Parts: sequence; structure tokens; C-alpha cells
Amino acid sequence: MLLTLTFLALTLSSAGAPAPQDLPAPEVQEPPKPGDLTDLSLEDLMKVEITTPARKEQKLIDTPSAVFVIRPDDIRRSGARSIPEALRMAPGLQVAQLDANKWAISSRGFNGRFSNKLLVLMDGRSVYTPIFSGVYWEVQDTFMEDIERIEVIRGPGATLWGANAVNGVINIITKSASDTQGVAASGGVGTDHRDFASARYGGAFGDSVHYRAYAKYQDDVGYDPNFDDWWMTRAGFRTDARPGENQSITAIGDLYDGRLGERVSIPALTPPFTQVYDQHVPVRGGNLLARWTYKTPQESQVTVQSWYEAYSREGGILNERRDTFDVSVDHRISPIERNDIVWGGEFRFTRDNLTQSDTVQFDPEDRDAMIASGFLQDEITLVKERLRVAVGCKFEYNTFSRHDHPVEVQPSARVAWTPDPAHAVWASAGRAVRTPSRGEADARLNIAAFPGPTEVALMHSHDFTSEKLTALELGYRVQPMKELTFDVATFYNLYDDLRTFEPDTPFLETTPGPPHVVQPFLIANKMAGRSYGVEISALAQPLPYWRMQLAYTFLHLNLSPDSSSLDPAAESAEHESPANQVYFRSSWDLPENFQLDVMPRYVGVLGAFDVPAYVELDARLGWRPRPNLELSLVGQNLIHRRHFEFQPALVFTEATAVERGGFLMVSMRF
Amino acid sequence: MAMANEGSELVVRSGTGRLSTLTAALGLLAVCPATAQEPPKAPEYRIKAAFLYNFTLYTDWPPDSFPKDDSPIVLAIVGDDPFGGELDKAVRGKTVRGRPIEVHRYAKAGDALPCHLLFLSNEHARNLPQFLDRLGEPLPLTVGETEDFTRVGGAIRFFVEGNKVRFEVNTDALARARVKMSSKLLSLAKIVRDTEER
Repeated sequence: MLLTLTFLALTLSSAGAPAPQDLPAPEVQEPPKPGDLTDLSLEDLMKVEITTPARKEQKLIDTPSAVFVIRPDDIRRSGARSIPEALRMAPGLQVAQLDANKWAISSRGFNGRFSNKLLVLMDGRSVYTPIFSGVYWEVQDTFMEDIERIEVIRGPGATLWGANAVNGVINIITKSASDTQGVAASGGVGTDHRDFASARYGGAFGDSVHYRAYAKYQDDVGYDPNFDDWWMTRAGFRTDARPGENQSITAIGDLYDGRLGERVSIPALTPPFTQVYDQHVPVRGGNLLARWTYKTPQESQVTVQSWYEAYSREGGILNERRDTFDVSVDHRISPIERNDIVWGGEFRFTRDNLTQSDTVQFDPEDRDAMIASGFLQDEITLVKERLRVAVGCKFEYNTFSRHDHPVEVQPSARVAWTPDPAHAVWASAGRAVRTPSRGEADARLNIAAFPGPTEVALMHSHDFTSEKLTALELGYRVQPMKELTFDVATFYNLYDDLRTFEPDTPFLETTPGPPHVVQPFLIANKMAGRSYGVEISALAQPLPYWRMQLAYTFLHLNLSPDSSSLDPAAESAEHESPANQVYFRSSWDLPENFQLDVMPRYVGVLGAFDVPAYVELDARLGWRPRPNLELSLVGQNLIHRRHFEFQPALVFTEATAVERGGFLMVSMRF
Repeated sequence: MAMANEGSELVVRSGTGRLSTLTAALGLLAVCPATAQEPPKAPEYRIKAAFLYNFTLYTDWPPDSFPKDDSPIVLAIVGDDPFGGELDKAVRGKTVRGRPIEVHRYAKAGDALPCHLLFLSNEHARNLPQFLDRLGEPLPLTVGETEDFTRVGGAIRFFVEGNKVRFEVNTDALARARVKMSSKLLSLAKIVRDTEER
């Protein structure tokens, strides 16, 4: 009533002037050509739906799994110059730096440089290396400003993603080329990140084809003055085309070339039985991905994706060259009411070419491997907007699975209950496996030598089978008020057939000389384990210009080797991930377009490595004098002059202490 | 629940391909009722740009806000420009009652020279009350997207409902800006008032 009166008053008061409703309204007859909406009448404009399929927004609160999303603003304001640095803010992840160019990242424990229970995808391309089923983080990068989001999903994602998604999936997703038009450039100088520069240009052919290209360069001096400096250059492109209303085509490619400094210590058969040397590892690679999505009028959607990747890494003790080809098809359909079905298949072929050394030998040196998989999942809405259930299963054949059960079965069930829009409870149960890596199937790795001479070697075994996980999860999300969000995820994991190294009968070896005794440790599956944990994420905005983010991670891992296991170090993983971690970020918007972010973090003790608990602090001061110009002053690890975060295992590259540092960066857009 | 703008920490954008497979499987995708006829579709900020153009068509600014008869209608964007060229494309070559439309961009609201329509990015919309105090007369027609934009004195707020762009108009703010908006436009808007009478 009051509104009507006000409106009347407003209309009456304008009686003298020409009434706006008498203005000539734009005339509209024909449906407009796509792209121009200004010819539409207001009524028709009200009917237009927002569509870039990449933009279909849904509330995270309903998601029946432990998800954390890192957005461009989080990356920019945290001062992260690389993907691993950005991942420090996610709850449930263990992120540690080994030296300036090496990272150990995992989800829910079992961390290590070669941690093998996490699946990482960049724009849909799996980036783990089958050599050890882990990720070379130092070569995973892009133009940081073009990242649309990083989804961090803890817990098994095996039903949809396959055999490495045991404890988590990280999805790095870049923006559509249509969202990155124009020129953007950034560059800076600093202490560890000594100098870096990157630029991107985005353009368009007509209304339906957008493209961008970027180039990036970085030169890091490293933490140790002698050996862990590194540099990397890369360039890439992305094209997004919409040839018709219902289809879209995306092509993405990257090339990189770099040198990674490191200090390696390898066993030697002559005194002092260790050989230490510094080297710069040449790494180079490239990839190309194409994706076609077709949406039928019945809301069913087909996606066909294919990618090829080639890379080489001349590590000295192991030179690797690998080519991988992958093709996958997904189909999403709602054949009956309240049922959303996703099903699909994937085929991957990978060929490697390994040159070995006295330290690492592969048998065979070159091997082809493949993965073939199919999955089906049905999501059923039991009560509209209140209760949903998703059940699914994935079947996967992997060359490295043991021959007597070559097909891995990975089912899962999830339920989400949303009693009202501000509360959600979810639960899940699932099974996931971590298939053997190429190294576990075929390698011998000499890890130590002693007077005698005696050499200790880790040996592959064809009896080694997949590690298995049964996971139970329970989560709760609540948004008591607009400015406050809580997300709690808990889990209970039961592992079986975990990897151990069992001592076997020593034997004499004459080549390479001098003759020596080899004490072999055979890879086996003689351990079970259980873990539980709590991950809390909170977001608060007490004032319009003040935001806070908190992530807390608690993890307990208990490993139980079989009574027949003689592995002396089987349980070390219990103490390779911190029990408690806290990350906090306070973001202030200050007057005159200044922004201040302060990010303390606590990481608990790593008993296995003698790494004490530590508190560290990053901070960023940003100033945007003009909308397209920004200056950032970033301080990293400000509390201690230097601190260790981790220690290597298996391959002994020397860890360096992370140093206090900082950089100044300029970002521009045109 | 208010999660559209600032609360977008809680919003996941579902991707294409494998990504949509994941998001769909995790239940991120809404169950879309199949419709016989596809509604027209366009990117979000192309739609919003078209709305801004329409606002100029259906709004009468006070005559003293134009130095001359053919002075342009000035649209200003303060802070991050989410339109990415769509607004320039939407108004290019168009005239409204003999006036061309110009798009200007400013780092902060204090820089915005007299303009007719002022779009504030979320970052700047948070400090809207202070900006309004700082802006000289005549006040522009302010447009924003933050949750409380119209409650703290802004004139028009875009929001998304059922995947379509909607807008909310604070009639008190219209009066303060001394603009007259056609009833046709107002009939399509959600009408709100200041939280407190001033």
C-alpha cells in the first residue's frame, strides 16, 4: 500500500514534465539475431535466460561432499603466485614445500612428494604421472589471473573420476575465453620469486568464437644459494566457440620449458657410500585438449573430450619421456522424472620411454599402458529441494592392476538433506582404489648403501595389488546469517592392502662393481589402516569491508601392519602429515582503494621428519589507483627467517628451508 | 537465503565436460524441467547491458543534468567492469531522444564526474552510503548488484531469479536522483523503499 502511494506521489509530481511513459518505446517485431539484446522489448528481455553453460550457478550448500572452492579473488588477495601456494587455504589438504621447486600435497594424509592418492585435473586433463601416481606440481601452472576456480574435493571421487581419486580431487578450471578478452599483464620482482612476468591477450572472431593466448616466465633464486634455483617459461591458448545454440567447442593447449635446480644424494658402493651432486633438471612438455558439448532440447547433454600430452624430464637417475592420449564421453540425461543419470566411458593410452641409472632401473624400460573405464550414476530427488540420493559405480581396467582381478569396482552412495535453504546435512559411503603405479609394477630403486658393501633396494613385485579404501563421510553446512557460513566435514576411512616393503633374501650382485650384497625389500600389501578427521571451513563478513576465512583440519591416522609384515618403516606415514592445521585470512578493503590481507597459518609437528610445529604468516597490501592497474606488495613466511616444512622420501633430493621473502607486483588490464 | 552476491563463496559454477559430470554427480546441477521450447539465452552481462540500455530509454533525467540539447547520456562504471565490452556494444551508435550514450569508467566513485547512470561494482557498492554523500548533485541513477544495494540508498539492483535477470528499484532513491522512471519499467521491477525514512 505504502509502495503504491509513493509511486503515485512520484508519478503525480512529474505531471508537469513530459511523462516518461509517453516516451517512444523501442519497437520490436522479429526475434533478434543472437548477440544483440537491445532490440528486445523489456518483456522479452525479462524472459532471456542466463546461459553460458559454464555459468550455471548452484548452491554449494546442497553438495553432498566435502568441497572447498578457491576463487580468483582468493588467489589474488592471498598473493599466491602458483597453484600450490593457493592450495594452502583449503581445509583438508596437506601442503608443504620441499625446496623452492618441489611440493608435497595430499588430502587427508599420506603426504609426500610422491603422494599417490590425490587426483589433479587441469581443465579436465589428468596431470598425475603414472610413474608414481603423483603430481609434478612444479610444472602445473597457467596465467594465474585466468583461473576461474579451483575446486578442492576431499574424500573419494572414484565413482566418477577413476583410480587415483582416493582421498581427494583437485579441479583447476580456467575461465572461458569469452571472459578473458583484452590484454592483461602482470610482472614483478622479489626475493625468492626474483622476477616474473606474464601476459595474456584475448580476442574474438565475431560473436561466437573467442580466444586467448598467454605467455609466462618466472625466475626463482631458490632458498639455498647453491642449488634450488629454477626457471620456467610457458605459453598457451584457449578457444571457446559456440557454433550453434546448443553446442560449444573448447580447445586448450600449453607448452612449457624449464630447469629445476636440486641437490641429489644417491647411494654409492664405495666410501662414503653416498654421492651428492647438484643439478638442473630439464623439464619440457606440452598438451592439447579439445572438448565438444552438445545439449539436446530435452536437457540431455553429451560431452566428448580428448587430450594428448607429451613431456620429458631428465632427472639424471631417471630420464622419462611420456606420451599420453585420452578420450572420454559423458552423457547426462533425465529419462524419468526426478532421475538425473550421468554415464560415460574413458580410454587412456600412455607410452613411456625411460632411461635408467645405477640408482633406478625399470624392467621393461619402455612400456605401453592403458586405462579403460565406464561409470554410471543416478541422482534421485526423493523430496523436491529437500532430499536427494546419488548412487553410482565405476568399473576400471588398468594395465597395472593385478592380473587376477584386472577390473576395479568402485561404488558410492551419497545423500543430501536440506531441511531449509540455510542448513544442509550430507553423508556418503564409497569405495576407492589406488592402482599400482608403473614404478611399483616394474622398478627397482636403490635407496641406501653401507660398508660391506651392502645395498638396500626397493623391488617391484607383480603380486602388488591396488590399495583399497572404504570411506564414510558426514557433513553439515549452515548459514545462520548472510554474513556467516560454517562448513564441517568429518570422515572415517578404512584402508586395506596398503603398501609395505618387506625384507627378502639377500643376494650377491657383481655389476655394477664392486661386488656387493643386495638386501631387497619387496613391495607388498601387508598393512591396513584407519583414519578419521574433521575439516572446518568458516567464512564471516562482520563489516562490509572486512571478511575473514578460517580453515581448520584435524587428522588422525592409525596404521596396522599385518602380523607377517617385517617392514621397519611401515607406520611412518602416521607422522608424515600434521594432526592439526589452521589457516586464517583477514581481508580488509581500505579507503583510497587499498586492500590488506593478513594470513597466518599453523601447521602441526611432523614426527617422521623432525619438522616441528610452526606458525607462519603471509600478508599482502594491494593498491588499485585505477580500475585497470593494481600494485601488490606481498610478504611470505614472515615470522621465521627460515623454516623446514617437509623432508623427502624414496628419492633423496635435499630439502631446503623455506625463507622469509616477498615480492612487488604490478598488474594491468586494457 | 541470501547467497547471490557477497555470499558467492557458497556458489559453485558448474563447468563443462568432465567437470559438469562431477558437478552433476555431486548434485550441483539443478534439476531443470524439460521445456518444449528453448527460452532465449544469453550471457549474464549481455542481458544486464541490454537492461542498462533500456533504463536509459525509460528514464527521464532532470533537464539541468544536460548542458545542451544534444549532450550525451553518460553511463559510468566504477571499479571492476563486469560487462567486459558488452555495455559498449549495447549502446554503440544508439541515441535516446536525440542524445548519444557514452560509457565512462572510473577507479572509484569519487572520481566519477557528473554522470546519469552509475554502475558500482560489488567492491565499491559496499561503501555506497559514503559514496553517495561524496557525490555531488545531481545524484546519478545508481545501479548495483550487492544484496543490500537498494536498502542502503542505491536506486536499482540486479538480481538473478530462476536463471533470469531481474531488478529491484528503490523509489526513494529515484526521487533523490530527481529522475522519473516510466511505469512500464516500474511495473516489471520489484519495488522497495529505504529501510528508514529520511
